Amino acid sequence: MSPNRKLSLFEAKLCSDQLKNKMMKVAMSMTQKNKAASLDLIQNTYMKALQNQDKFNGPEIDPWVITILKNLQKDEWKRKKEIHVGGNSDLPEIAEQDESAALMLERDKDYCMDTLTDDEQTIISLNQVSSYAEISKDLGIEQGTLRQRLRRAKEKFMECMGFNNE
Amino acid sequence: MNDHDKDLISAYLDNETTADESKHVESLMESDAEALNYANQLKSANLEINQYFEGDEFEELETSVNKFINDSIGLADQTRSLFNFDISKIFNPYSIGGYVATAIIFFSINLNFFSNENYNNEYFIPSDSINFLQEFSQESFSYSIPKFRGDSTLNKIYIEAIEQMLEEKKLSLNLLYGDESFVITIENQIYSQDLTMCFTGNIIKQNSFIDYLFCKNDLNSSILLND
Repeated sequence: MSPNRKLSLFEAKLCSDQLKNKMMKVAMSMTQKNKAASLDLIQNTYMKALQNQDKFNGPEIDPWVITILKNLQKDEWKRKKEIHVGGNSDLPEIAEQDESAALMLERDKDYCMDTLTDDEQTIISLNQVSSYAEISKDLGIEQGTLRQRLRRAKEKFMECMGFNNE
Repeated sequence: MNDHDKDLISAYLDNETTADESKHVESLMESDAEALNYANQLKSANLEINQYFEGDEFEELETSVNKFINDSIGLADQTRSLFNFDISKIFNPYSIGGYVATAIIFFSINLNFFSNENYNNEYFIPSDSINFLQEFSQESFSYSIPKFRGDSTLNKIYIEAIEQMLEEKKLSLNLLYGDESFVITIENQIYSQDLTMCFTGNIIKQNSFIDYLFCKNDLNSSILLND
């Protein structure tokens, strides 16, 4: 590490607390709160953003970085799916969950969060750290559309948790 | 209760409704048992969702991410920087405030970037009011500065305009300076400690696009352009 190294504006923006918090929430929701997987995902996102900074033409860095993070996670899902389809015989078969375990999971919030699509998870996780105005800007959607999508995502979560049957 | 009412109830519980919308939601919940029940279900869902995003895992993750940020930015030494500017240029010999801001930023960067032993710092750049910009409106406003012969440098004009944006709590400004016009935006708060705050943003003039770093304390303001 060079002692004379100076911070570039791009790096300052990339490492802001606000963006870091957004990345952590989105990564944790997309990896089912797997800390190691989230850290890998965030690290890969930072590295990819740094490597591709000449492709960033501003003005908003947050949406650009969140998109990188989501695409990396989608690639990871795709890679895992390919390995699974390829049928690696060295891997143990995943045991089928019995009915009682499935019932127990039914009301589990981790499970319910996982039933949401990645777009729904992103909206809900950004809702934890950002205002509607900021989320709309990050996702490039109108605030009215955001309200609707957020409400629907929460309804889906509620339904999974069994709140609307109480 | 229709879907729009549900959207409003959801936004109301997130404190994201206007005064009129809030009144509508409150009267709806008083008059419609179904609406009240829906609001209570959403409250429960919000509580569960909040709990999902809390916990030791997040604190542990943040520590690891902070460590990585320090490491990676150091390792990224070989990476060519898009902006490639030296934050020290914000030092203006005629500006005590600029000096103070720069000195504090350098101090924090030194702590976080130049010390391998200091990975456990909670923040990469010290921040005591990182949500300051959350109160700001996206709505743009116009501000005019008359232009006289032998007048101020553009930097001073930009500083005056950005100070006006902070005063008005708005993230976007249409600046008229003589017959020139600019759009100025504030994008991020990248530093905040004690009385010093730094922001990044953009200045757009015709087709040119300039990034800036603006720092302000109680004594003075400085701007650094990357044009």
